[in-house]
Amino acid sequence: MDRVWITNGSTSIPPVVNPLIAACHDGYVPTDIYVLNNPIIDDVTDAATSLMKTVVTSQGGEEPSITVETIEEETDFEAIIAYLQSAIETGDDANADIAVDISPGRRFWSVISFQAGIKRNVDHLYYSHVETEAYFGETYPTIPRTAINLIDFTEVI
Amino acid sequence: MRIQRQHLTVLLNRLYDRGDEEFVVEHPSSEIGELLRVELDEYDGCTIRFLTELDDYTATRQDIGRQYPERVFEDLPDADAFRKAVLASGILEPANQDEIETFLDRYGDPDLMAGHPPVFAGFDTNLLPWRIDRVLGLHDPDSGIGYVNGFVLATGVRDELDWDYKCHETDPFVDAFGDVYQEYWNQPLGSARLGRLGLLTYRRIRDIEQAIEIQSAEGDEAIIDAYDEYDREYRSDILLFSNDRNFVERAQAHRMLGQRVDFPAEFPDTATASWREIEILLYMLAVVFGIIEVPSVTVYGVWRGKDELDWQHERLKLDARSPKLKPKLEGDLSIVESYEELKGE
Repeated sequence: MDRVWITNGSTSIPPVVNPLIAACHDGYVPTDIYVLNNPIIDDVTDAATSLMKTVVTSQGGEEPSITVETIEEETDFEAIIAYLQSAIETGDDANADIAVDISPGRRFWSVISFQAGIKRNVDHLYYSHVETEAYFGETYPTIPRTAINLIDFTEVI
Repeated sequence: MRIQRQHLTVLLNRLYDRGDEEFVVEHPSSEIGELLRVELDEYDGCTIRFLTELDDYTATRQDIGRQYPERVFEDLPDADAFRKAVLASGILEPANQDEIETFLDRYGDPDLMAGHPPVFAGFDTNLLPWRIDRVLGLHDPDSGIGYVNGFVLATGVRDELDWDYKCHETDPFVDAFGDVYQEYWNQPLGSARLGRLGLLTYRRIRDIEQAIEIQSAEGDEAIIDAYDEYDREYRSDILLFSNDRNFVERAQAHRMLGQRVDFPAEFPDTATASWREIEILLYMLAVVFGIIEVPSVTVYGVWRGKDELDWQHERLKLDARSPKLKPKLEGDLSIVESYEELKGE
Protein backbone atom coordinates (compact mmCIF):
# COMPACT_ATOMS: atom_id res chain seq x y z
CA MET A 1 0.00 0.00 0.00
CA ASP A 2 1.14 3.55 -0.75
CA ARG A 3 2.09 5.77 2.15
CA VAL A 4 1.98 9.51 1.63
CA TRP A 5 4.01 12.03 3.66
CA ILE A 6 2.90 15.66 3.46
CA THR A 7 5.16 18.28 4.99
CA ASN A 8 6.57 21.80 4.76
CA GLY A 9 9.98 23.23 4.00
CA SER A 10 11.94 25.17 6.61
CA THR A 11 14.99 27.39 7.05
CA SER A 12 17.07 24.42 8.20
CA ILE A 13 17.19 20.74 7.31
CA PRO A 14 16.62 18.87 10.62
CA PRO A 15 13.04 20.05 11.35
CA VAL A 16 12.04 18.81 7.88
CA VAL A 17 13.73 15.40 7.99
CA ASN A 18 13.66 14.51 11.70
CA PRO A 19 9.91 13.75 11.89
CA LEU A 20 10.29 11.63 8.75
CA ILE A 21 13.22 9.67 10.22
CA ALA A 22 11.25 9.19 13.44
CA ALA A 23 8.21 7.97 11.49
CA CYS A 24 10.35 5.54 9.45
CA HIS A 25 11.87 4.36 12.71
CA ASP A 26 8.33 3.63 13.98
CA GLY A 27 7.53 1.72 10.78
CA TYR A 28 5.84 4.38 8.66
CA VAL A 29 8.07 4.42 5.56
CA PRO A 30 6.50 6.66 2.88
CA THR A 31 6.29 5.97 -0.85
CA ASP A 32 5.30 9.51 -1.84
CA ILE A 33 6.40 12.78 -0.27
CA TYR A 34 5.00 16.29 -0.73
CA VAL A 35 6.89 19.38 0.39
CA LEU A 36 5.68 22.98 0.51
CA ASN A 37 8.41 25.41 -0.52
CA ASN A 38 8.98 29.09 -1.25
CA PRO A 39 11.86 30.77 -3.12
CA ILE A 40 13.58 31.97 0.08
CA ILE A 41 14.14 28.44 1.37
CA ASP A 42 14.87 26.80 -2.01
CA ASP A 43 18.39 25.66 -1.10
CA VAL A 44 17.32 24.09 2.17
CA THR A 45 14.41 22.34 0.46
CA ASP A 46 16.78 20.92 -2.16
CA ALA A 47 19.09 19.57 0.54
CA ALA A 48 16.20 18.30 2.68
CA THR A 49 14.54 16.42 -0.19
CA SER A 50 17.87 14.87 -1.15
CA LEU A 51 18.32 13.69 2.44
CA MET A 52 14.72 12.40 2.52
CA LYS A 53 15.63 9.90 -0.21
CA THR A 54 18.61 8.71 1.84
CA VAL A 55 16.36 8.43 4.90
CA VAL A 56 13.69 6.30 3.24
CA THR A 57 16.10 4.00 1.42
CA SER A 58 18.34 3.60 4.48
CA GLN A 59 15.31 2.54 6.50
CA GLY A 60 14.43 -0.19 4.03
CA GLY A 61 12.05 1.65 1.67
CA GLU A 62 12.14 2.17 -2.10
CA GLU A 63 13.25 5.61 -3.23
CA PRO A 64 10.14 7.77 -2.71
CA SER A 65 8.65 10.05 -5.32
CA ILE A 66 9.02 13.62 -4.08
CA THR A 67 6.85 16.52 -5.21
CA VAL A 68 7.87 20.05 -4.26
CA GLU A 69 5.17 22.71 -4.44
CA THR A 70 6.66 26.19 -4.55
CA ILE A 71 4.52 29.20 -3.69
CA GLU A 72 5.88 32.64 -4.53
CA GLU A 73 4.45 34.37 -1.46
CA GLU A 74 4.66 32.53 1.83
CA THR A 75 1.42 34.19 2.95
CA ASP A 76 -0.54 33.00 -0.09
CA PHE A 77 -3.06 31.15 2.08
CA GLU A 78 -5.16 29.94 -0.82
CA ALA A 79 -2.10 28.34 -2.41
CA ILE A 80 -1.21 26.66 0.90
CA ILE A 81 -4.72 25.26 1.25
CA ALA A 82 -4.70 24.15 -2.40
CA TYR A 83 -1.35 22.39 -1.84
CA LEU A 84 -2.73 20.39 1.09
CA GLN A 85 -6.01 19.56 -0.60
CA SER A 86 -4.32 18.36 -3.74
CA ALA A 87 -1.75 16.23 -1.87
CA ILE A 88 -4.40 14.66 0.38
CA GLU A 89 -6.75 14.02 -2.55
CA THR A 90 -4.04 12.36 -4.58
CA GLY A 91 -3.37 10.09 -1.60
CA ASP A 92 -7.06 9.35 -1.14
CA ASP A 93 -7.45 8.50 -4.84
CA ALA A 94 -4.61 5.98 -4.53
CA ASN A 95 -6.23 4.59 -1.37
CA ALA A 96 -2.99 5.37 0.45
CA ASP A 97 -2.22 5.85 4.12
CA ILE A 98 -1.72 9.58 4.61
CA ALA A 99 0.48 11.34 7.17
CA VAL A 100 0.58 15.11 7.56
CA ASP A 101 3.62 16.47 9.39
CA ILE A 102 3.12 19.84 11.07
CA SER A 103 6.59 20.12 12.66
CA PRO A 104 8.55 22.27 10.17
CA GLY A 105 7.95 25.56 8.42
CA ARG A 106 6.09 28.74 9.17
CA ARG A 107 3.69 28.46 12.06
CA PHE A 108 0.68 29.39 9.93
CA TRP A 109 1.68 26.67 7.44
CA SER A 110 1.52 24.21 10.33
CA VAL A 111 -1.81 25.54 11.54
CA ILE A 112 -3.34 25.20 8.08
CA SER A 113 -1.79 21.71 7.72
CA PHE A 114 -3.22 20.70 11.07
CA GLN A 115 -6.68 21.86 10.18
CA ALA A 116 -6.56 20.14 6.79
CA GLY A 117 -5.36 16.93 8.40
CA ILE A 118 -8.18 16.92 10.96
CA LYS A 119 -10.83 17.88 8.42
CA ARG A 120 -9.77 15.23 5.90
CA ASN A 121 -9.38 12.62 8.58
CA VAL A 122 -5.81 11.61 7.65
CA ASP A 123 -4.23 8.49 9.16
CA HIS A 124 -1.44 10.30 10.99
CA LEU A 125 -0.98 13.88 12.07
CA TYR A 126 2.60 14.11 13.24
CA TYR A 127 4.51 16.57 15.35
CA SER A 128 8.08 15.97 16.40
CA HIS A 129 8.61 17.23 19.95
CA VAL A 130 12.22 17.82 20.98
CA GLU A 131 12.79 18.18 24.70
CA THR A 132 15.87 20.35 24.65
CA GLU A 133 17.73 22.81 22.45
CA ALA A 134 20.95 20.98 23.32
CA TYR A 135 20.59 18.96 20.13
CA PHE A 136 19.59 21.84 17.87
CA GLY A 137 20.84 21.30 14.30
CA GLU A 138 21.22 17.54 14.67
CA THR A 139 19.39 14.70 12.98
CA TYR A 140 17.22 12.11 14.69
CA PRO A 141 19.85 9.32 14.92
CA THR A 142 22.20 11.51 17.01
CA ILE A 143 19.50 12.91 19.30
CA PRO A 144 18.98 10.81 22.45
CA ARG A 145 15.89 8.68 22.00
CA THR A 146 14.58 9.94 25.32
CA ALA A 147 14.83 13.58 24.17
CA ILE A 148 12.67 13.40 21.03
CA ASN A 149 9.11 12.20 20.76
CA LEU A 150 7.02 11.80 17.61
CA ILE A 151 3.48 12.73 18.61
CA ASP A 152 0.61 11.49 16.44
CA PHE A 153 -2.27 13.89 17.07
CA THR A 154 -4.76 11.44 15.56
CA GLU A 155 -4.12 9.35 18.66
CA VAL A 156 -4.04 12.02 21.36
CA ILE A 157 -6.90 14.39 20.52
CA MET B 1 31.97 0.75 10.23
CA ARG B 2 33.72 3.90 11.40
CA ILE B 3 31.99 6.47 13.56
CA GLN B 4 32.94 9.90 14.89
CA ARG B 5 32.93 10.39 18.63
CA GLN B 6 30.08 12.92 18.54
CA HIS B 7 27.91 10.48 16.58
CA LEU B 8 28.10 7.70 19.15
CA THR B 9 24.54 8.46 20.23
CA VAL B 10 23.60 6.47 17.09
CA LEU B 11 24.94 3.40 18.89
CA LEU B 12 23.42 4.37 22.25
CA ASN B 13 20.01 4.89 20.60
CA ARG B 14 20.07 1.49 18.92
CA LEU B 15 21.07 -0.20 22.17
CA TYR B 16 18.22 1.66 23.88
CA ASP B 17 15.75 0.49 21.18
CA ARG B 18 16.59 -3.15 21.70
CA GLY B 19 16.08 -2.96 25.43
CA ASP B 20 19.71 -2.46 26.42
CA GLU B 21 19.05 0.86 28.12
CA GLU B 22 21.21 -0.57 30.88
CA PHE B 23 24.43 -2.06 29.60
CA VAL B 24 27.90 -3.04 30.68
CA VAL B 25 31.07 -1.70 29.07
CA GLU B 26 33.59 -4.52 29.10
CA HIS B 27 37.14 -5.33 28.17
CA PRO B 28 37.24 -8.21 25.65
CA SER B 29 39.23 -10.42 28.02
CA SER B 30 37.28 -12.49 30.54
CA GLU B 31 39.97 -11.79 33.16
CA ILE B 32 39.18 -8.09 33.18
CA GLY B 33 35.58 -8.08 31.96
CA GLU B 34 33.33 -5.34 33.31
CA LEU B 35 34.71 -1.81 33.40
CA LEU B 36 31.55 0.09 34.27
CA ARG B 37 27.78 0.17 33.70
CA VAL B 38 25.70 2.70 31.81
CA GLU B 39 22.00 3.34 32.43
CA LEU B 40 20.52 5.46 29.64
CA ASP B 41 17.78 7.84 30.69
CA GLU B 42 17.06 11.57 30.25
CA TYR B 43 19.46 13.37 27.89
CA ASP B 44 21.22 14.97 30.87
CA GLY B 45 20.40 12.44 33.58
CA CYS B 46 21.88 9.00 32.93
CA THR B 47 23.60 6.93 35.61
CA ILE B 48 27.07 5.42 35.47
CA ARG B 49 27.70 2.62 37.98
CA PHE B 50 31.18 1.63 39.07
CA LEU B 51 31.10 -1.90 40.43
CA THR B 52 34.75 -2.50 39.61
CA GLU B 53 37.03 -1.34 42.44
CA LEU B 54 40.25 0.20 41.19
CA ASP B 55 42.25 -1.95 43.65
CA ASP B 56 40.69 -5.09 42.17
CA TYR B 57 41.44 -3.80 38.68
CA THR B 58 45.07 -3.24 39.67
CA ALA B 59 45.29 -6.78 41.10
CA THR B 60 43.80 -8.29 37.95
CA ARG B 61 46.19 -6.30 35.81
CA GLN B 62 49.11 -7.58 37.91
CA ASP B 63 47.86 -11.16 37.38
CA ILE B 64 47.79 -10.58 33.65
CA GLY B 65 51.32 -9.21 33.92
CA ARG B 66 52.44 -12.53 35.41
CA GLN B 67 50.69 -14.64 32.77
CA TYR B 68 51.42 -12.82 29.54
CA PRO B 69 54.33 -11.03 27.84
CA GLU B 70 55.30 -7.63 29.18
CA ARG B 71 54.03 -5.72 26.17
CA VAL B 72 50.51 -7.06 26.81
CA PHE B 73 50.73 -5.89 30.42
CA GLU B 74 52.09 -2.51 29.39
CA ASP B 75 49.37 -2.01 26.82
CA LEU B 76 46.68 -2.43 29.47
CA PRO B 77 46.10 0.96 31.09
CA ASP B 78 46.84 1.14 34.81
CA ALA B 79 44.12 2.17 37.26
CA ASP B 80 45.40 5.71 37.05
CA ALA B 81 44.75 5.97 33.30
CA PHE B 82 41.38 4.24 33.76
CA ARG B 83 40.09 6.87 36.22
CA LYS B 84 41.59 9.73 34.22
CA ALA B 85 39.77 8.48 31.12
CA VAL B 86 36.52 8.62 33.11
CA LEU B 87 37.36 12.09 34.46
CA ALA B 88 38.06 13.30 30.91
CA SER B 89 34.45 12.56 29.96
CA GLY B 90 33.32 15.21 32.43
CA ILE B 91 31.47 12.71 34.63
CA LEU B 92 33.86 13.08 37.57
CA GLU B 93 35.53 16.15 39.01
CA PRO B 94 39.17 16.55 40.04
CA ALA B 95 39.69 15.58 43.68
CA ASN B 96 40.63 19.18 44.56
CA GLN B 97 37.86 20.80 42.52
CA ASP B 98 37.05 23.34 45.26
CA GLU B 99 40.66 24.46 45.46
CA ILE B 100 40.84 24.79 41.67
CA GLU B 101 37.66 26.85 41.61
CA THR B 102 38.98 29.15 44.32
CA PHE B 103 42.19 29.58 42.30
CA LEU B 104 40.25 30.31 39.09
CA ASP B 105 37.83 32.70 40.81
CA ARG B 106 40.78 34.58 42.21
CA TYR B 107 43.04 34.74 39.17
CA GLY B 108 40.77 34.04 36.20
CA ASP B 109 38.20 36.16 34.39
CA PRO B 110 40.19 39.45 34.39
CA ASP B 111 38.42 42.76 33.84
CA LEU B 112 40.17 43.78 30.62
CA MET B 113 38.14 47.00 30.39
CA ALA B 114 39.60 48.04 33.73
CA GLY B 115 43.09 47.52 32.35
CA HIS B 116 43.83 44.16 33.92
CA PRO B 117 46.23 42.02 31.90
CA PRO B 118 44.74 39.08 29.98
CA VAL B 119 45.00 35.64 31.55
CA PHE B 120 46.29 32.64 29.63
CA ALA B 121 46.33 29.00 30.69
CA GLY B 122 49.25 26.64 30.10
CA PHE B 123 49.52 22.93 30.80
CA ASP B 124 52.04 20.35 31.82
CA THR B 125 52.29 17.26 29.61
CA ASN B 126 50.59 14.96 32.12
CA LEU B 127 47.22 16.76 31.88
CA LEU B 128 46.83 17.10 28.13
CA PRO B 129 45.49 13.62 27.27
CA TRP B 130 42.50 14.24 29.53
CA ARG B 131 40.63 17.09 27.80
CA ILE B 132 41.63 19.17 30.76
CA ASP B 133 40.69 22.58 29.34
CA ARG B 134 37.14 21.32 28.96
CA VAL B 135 37.01 19.48 32.28
CA LEU B 136 38.09 22.65 34.11
CA GLY B 137 35.75 24.78 31.98
CA LEU B 138 38.58 27.22 31.26
CA HIS B 139 37.24 28.60 28.03
CA ASP B 140 34.27 27.95 25.78
CA PRO B 141 35.34 28.38 22.16
CA ASP B 142 31.72 28.88 21.02
CA SER B 143 30.76 31.65 23.41
CA GLY B 144 34.31 32.98 23.83
CA ILE B 145 33.83 33.21 27.60
CA GLY B 146 35.39 31.43 30.53
CA TYR B 147 38.07 31.89 33.14
CA VAL B 148 40.89 32.57 30.69
CA ASN B 149 41.34 34.73 27.61
CA GLY B 150 43.34 32.13 25.76
CA PHE B 151 46.11 29.55 26.00
CA VAL B 152 49.86 29.41 25.75
CA LEU B 153 51.31 26.09 24.63
CA ALA B 154 54.97 25.16 24.96
CA THR B 155 56.31 23.04 22.10
CA GLY B 156 58.28 21.01 24.67
CA VAL B 157 54.95 19.65 25.91
CA ARG B 158 53.99 18.67 22.38
CA ASP B 159 57.31 16.88 21.86
CA GLU B 160 56.92 15.00 25.13
CA LEU B 161 53.62 13.58 23.84
CA ASP B 162 55.02 12.28 20.60
CA TRP B 163 55.89 8.64 21.17
CA ASP B 164 56.14 6.33 18.24
CA TYR B 165 55.54 3.02 19.89
CA LYS B 166 53.67 0.67 17.59
CA CYS B 167 52.47 -2.90 17.57
CA HIS B 168 54.56 -4.93 15.15
CA GLU B 169 53.37 -8.33 16.30
CA THR B 170 49.78 -9.06 17.23
CA ASP B 171 50.27 -12.70 18.31
CA PRO B 172 50.91 -12.01 22.01
CA PHE B 173 47.72 -9.94 22.20
CA VAL B 174 45.65 -12.49 20.27
CA ASP B 175 47.01 -15.28 22.52
CA ALA B 176 46.16 -13.29 25.63
CA PHE B 177 42.78 -11.74 24.82
CA GLY B 178 41.43 -13.16 21.55
CA ASP B 179 41.19 -12.72 17.79
CA VAL B 180 39.89 -9.14 17.86
CA TYR B 181 43.45 -8.10 18.74
CA GLN B 182 44.59 -8.86 15.20
CA GLU B 183 43.30 -5.30 14.63
CA TYR B 184 46.22 -4.01 16.72
CA TRP B 185 48.57 -4.40 13.77
CA ASN B 186 50.77 -1.32 13.29
CA GLN B 187 48.76 0.72 15.79
CA PRO B 188 50.13 2.64 18.80
CA LEU B 189 50.30 0.68 22.03
CA GLY B 190 49.47 1.68 25.60
CA SER B 191 51.16 4.90 26.60
CA ALA B 192 51.57 5.89 22.94
CA ARG B 193 47.77 6.00 22.65
CA LEU B 194 47.58 8.31 25.67
CA GLY B 195 50.22 10.47 24.01
CA ARG B 196 48.08 10.63 20.89
CA LEU B 197 45.13 11.80 22.97
CA GLY B 198 47.33 14.53 24.42
CA LEU B 199 48.52 15.60 20.97
CA LEU B 200 44.92 15.86 19.81
CA THR B 201 44.10 18.18 22.70
CA TYR B 202 47.25 20.19 22.01
CA ARG B 203 46.36 20.59 18.33
CA ARG B 204 42.71 21.35 19.02
CA ILE B 205 43.64 24.13 21.45
CA ARG B 206 46.32 25.46 19.11
CA ASP B 207 44.28 25.37 15.89
CA ILE B 208 40.71 25.97 16.95
CA GLU B 209 41.09 28.01 20.08
CA GLN B 210 43.92 30.12 18.68
CA ALA B 211 46.50 29.58 21.33
CA ILE B 212 49.93 31.12 21.27
CA GLU B 213 52.65 28.52 20.75
CA ILE B 214 56.01 29.18 22.37
CA GLN B 215 59.23 27.33 21.57
CA SER B 216 60.79 25.21 24.28
CA ALA B 217 62.86 22.10 24.76
CA GLU B 218 61.45 19.07 26.61
CA GLY B 219 61.57 18.74 30.39
CA ASP B 220 59.89 20.68 33.21
CA GLU B 221 62.66 23.24 33.61
CA ALA B 222 62.80 24.14 29.91
CA ILE B 223 59.02 24.30 29.66
CA ILE B 224 58.67 26.51 32.73
CA ASP B 225 61.53 28.75 31.51
CA ALA B 226 59.71 29.27 28.22
CA TYR B 227 56.48 30.19 30.01
CA ASP B 228 58.40 32.51 32.33
CA GLU B 229 60.05 34.26 29.40
CA TYR B 230 56.69 34.77 27.71
CA ASP B 231 55.20 35.98 30.97
CA ARG B 232 57.91 38.62 31.38
CA GLU B 233 57.96 39.69 27.73
CA TYR B 234 54.22 40.24 27.39
CA ARG B 235 51.94 41.87 29.85
CA SER B 236 49.80 38.89 30.75
CA ASP B 237 49.21 36.40 33.53
CA ILE B 238 49.82 32.72 32.95
CA LEU B 239 48.05 30.06 34.98
CA LEU B 240 50.00 26.83 34.79
CA PHE B 241 48.24 23.54 35.49
CA SER B 242 49.89 20.23 36.24
CA ASN B 243 49.20 16.94 37.96
CA ASP B 244 52.74 17.03 39.28
CA ARG B 245 53.45 18.84 42.57
CA ASN B 246 57.07 19.54 41.57
CA PHE B 247 56.02 21.22 38.34
CA VAL B 248 53.62 23.48 40.24
CA GLU B 249 56.28 24.35 42.83
CA ARG B 250 58.79 25.15 40.11
CA ALA B 251 56.27 27.41 38.39
CA GLN B 252 55.63 29.18 41.70
CA ALA B 253 59.39 29.53 42.26
CA HIS B 254 59.39 31.46 38.97
CA ARG B 255 56.67 33.64 40.46
CA MET B 256 54.07 32.23 38.09
CA LEU B 257 50.63 31.08 39.15
CA GLY B 258 50.64 27.30 39.34
CA GLN B 259 47.76 25.02 40.26
CA ARG B 260 47.82 21.30 40.80
CA VAL B 261 45.00 19.22 39.34
CA ASP B 262 44.51 16.20 41.51
CA PHE B 263 42.68 13.15 40.18
CA PRO B 264 40.14 11.29 42.31
CA ALA B 265 41.68 8.30 44.09
CA GLU B 266 38.61 6.10 43.76
CA PHE B 267 35.51 5.83 41.67
CA PRO B 268 32.28 6.81 43.38
CA ASP B 269 29.53 4.14 43.42
CA THR B 270 27.56 6.08 40.83
CA ALA B 271 27.84 9.25 38.79
CA THR B 272 25.36 11.21 36.70
CA ALA B 273 26.09 11.70 33.02
CA SER B 274 24.55 13.27 29.95
CA TRP B 275 24.39 11.35 26.66
CA ARG B 276 27.13 13.69 25.38
CA GLU B 277 29.37 12.72 28.28
CA ILE B 278 28.69 9.04 27.65
CA GLU B 279 29.85 9.55 24.05
CA ILE B 280 33.13 10.98 25.34
CA LEU B 281 33.35 8.22 27.96
CA LEU B 282 33.02 5.45 25.35
CA TYR B 283 35.51 7.20 23.10
CA MET B 284 38.06 7.64 25.89
CA LEU B 285 37.69 4.07 27.16
CA ALA B 286 37.97 2.66 23.63
CA VAL B 287 41.19 4.55 22.94
CA VAL B 288 42.74 4.03 26.39
CA PHE B 289 41.92 0.30 26.51
CA GLY B 290 42.37 -0.16 22.74
CA ILE B 291 39.25 -2.31 22.34
CA ILE B 292 36.05 -2.45 24.43
CA GLU B 293 32.72 -4.20 24.16
CA VAL B 294 29.12 -3.16 24.67
CA PRO B 295 26.19 -5.55 24.04
CA SER B 296 26.52 -7.05 20.53
CA VAL B 297 29.08 -4.47 19.44
CA THR B 298 32.87 -4.43 19.64
CA VAL B 299 34.22 -0.89 19.77
CA TYR B 300 37.77 -0.38 18.47
CA GLY B 301 39.75 2.63 19.68
CA VAL B 302 42.49 1.50 17.30
CA TRP B 303 42.25 -0.86 14.36
CA ARG B 304 44.35 -2.05 11.47
CA GLY B 305 44.57 0.93 9.12
CA LYS B 306 43.46 3.66 11.53
CA ASP B 307 45.06 6.78 10.06
CA GLU B 308 45.80 10.41 10.93
CA LEU B 309 42.39 11.61 9.80
CA ASP B 310 40.67 8.97 11.92
CA TRP B 311 42.57 10.30 14.93
CA GLN B 312 41.86 13.90 14.06
CA HIS B 313 38.12 13.29 13.63
CA GLU B 314 38.04 11.20 16.81
CA ARG B 315 36.77 8.15 14.95
CA LEU B 316 36.20 4.70 16.38
CA LYS B 317 35.43 1.50 14.52
CA LEU B 318 32.28 -0.45 15.38
CA ASP B 319 31.87 -4.12 14.65
CA ALA B 320 28.24 -5.10 15.17
CA ARG B 321 28.19 -8.80 16.03
CA SER B 322 24.39 -8.91 15.66
CA PRO B 323 23.09 -9.26 12.08
CA LYS B 324 19.94 -7.38 13.11
CA LEU B 325 21.76 -4.44 14.62
CA LYS B 326 24.33 -3.97 11.86
CA PRO B 327 22.03 -2.67 9.07
CA LYS B 328 20.27 -0.38 11.54
CA LEU B 329 23.53 1.24 12.60
CA GLU B 330 24.67 1.50 8.98
CA GLY B 331 21.36 3.06 7.93
CA ASP B 332 21.49 5.63 10.74
CA LEU B 333 25.10 6.50 9.97
CA SER B 334 24.31 6.98 6.28
CA ILE B 335 21.68 9.58 7.27
CA VAL B 336 24.04 11.34 9.67
CA GLU B 337 26.90 11.40 7.18
CA SER B 338 24.72 12.55 4.27
CA TYR B 339 23.45 15.36 6.46
CA GLU B 340 27.01 16.41 7.36
CA GLU B 341 27.89 16.54 3.67
CA LEU B 342 24.82 18.60 2.81
CA LYS B 343 25.49 20.96 5.70
CA GLY B 344 29.09 21.42 4.60
CA GLU B 345 28.12 22.60 1.12
